Amino acid sequence: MAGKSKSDAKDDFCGFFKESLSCITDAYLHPIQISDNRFLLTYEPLPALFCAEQRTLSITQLFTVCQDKARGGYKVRTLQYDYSLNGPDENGVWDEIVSYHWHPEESAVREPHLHVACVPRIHFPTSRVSVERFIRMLIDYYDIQPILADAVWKEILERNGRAFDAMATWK
Amino acid sequence: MPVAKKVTWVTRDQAMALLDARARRVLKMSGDEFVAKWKAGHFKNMDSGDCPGVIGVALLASASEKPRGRKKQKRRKR
Repeated sequence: MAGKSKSDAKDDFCGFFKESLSCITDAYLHPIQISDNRFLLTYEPLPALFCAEQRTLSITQLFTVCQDKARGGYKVRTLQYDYSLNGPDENGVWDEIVSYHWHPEESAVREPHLHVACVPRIHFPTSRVSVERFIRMLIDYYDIQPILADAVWKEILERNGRAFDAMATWK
Repeated sequence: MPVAKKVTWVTRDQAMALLDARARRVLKMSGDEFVAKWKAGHFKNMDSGDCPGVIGVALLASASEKPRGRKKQKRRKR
């Protein structure tokens, strides 16, 4: 997730991010350049996931590229994220079943937090969550079926999760 | 390790089309309408508990912002 140039760093990050998500969906993740140094990854439309129940995935990641003072070169710095699992409620209205947010530019709650549909107004404080841990939780506890062989998706999530841990400057 | 491929980045206009689709589905309003209300602070401090999906739309709406930077100023002739 680091690169010799800014372009290498952001393309490398996109590669890791897409690879992790490829464990549960083959939908196209749109890479959007917002300005010279602000980028966004998102799905539109939201991909349906393999599950006995109707479930869709929302992923939006806003990031920038900065100098990597520890290793030299450049690295990606996350600015905001939204990772959500969606499904219909008892009335058939689509809702966020579980969502991990960090959006310091959008609300008074500036720390990373968790929403659970049954108590939607509570912002449960969390550490910073990687997309790999979010995907692993969906597989382990929300019955989302991986679309890759077990040995493959496990290896991808473990490897990319370690890369996140190594590169993250805060959690 | 994934092979780093050259990524084709979506342009701002294409991003606005994605925002329009998302805003219509989640909030039943156009992308332009969402951006106007978002810039006016209508969605400030709103979160999943108030309106599921609003944060995803708000993050995508940041694509509507014009790139920040210093305007080039004409040099005055001496």
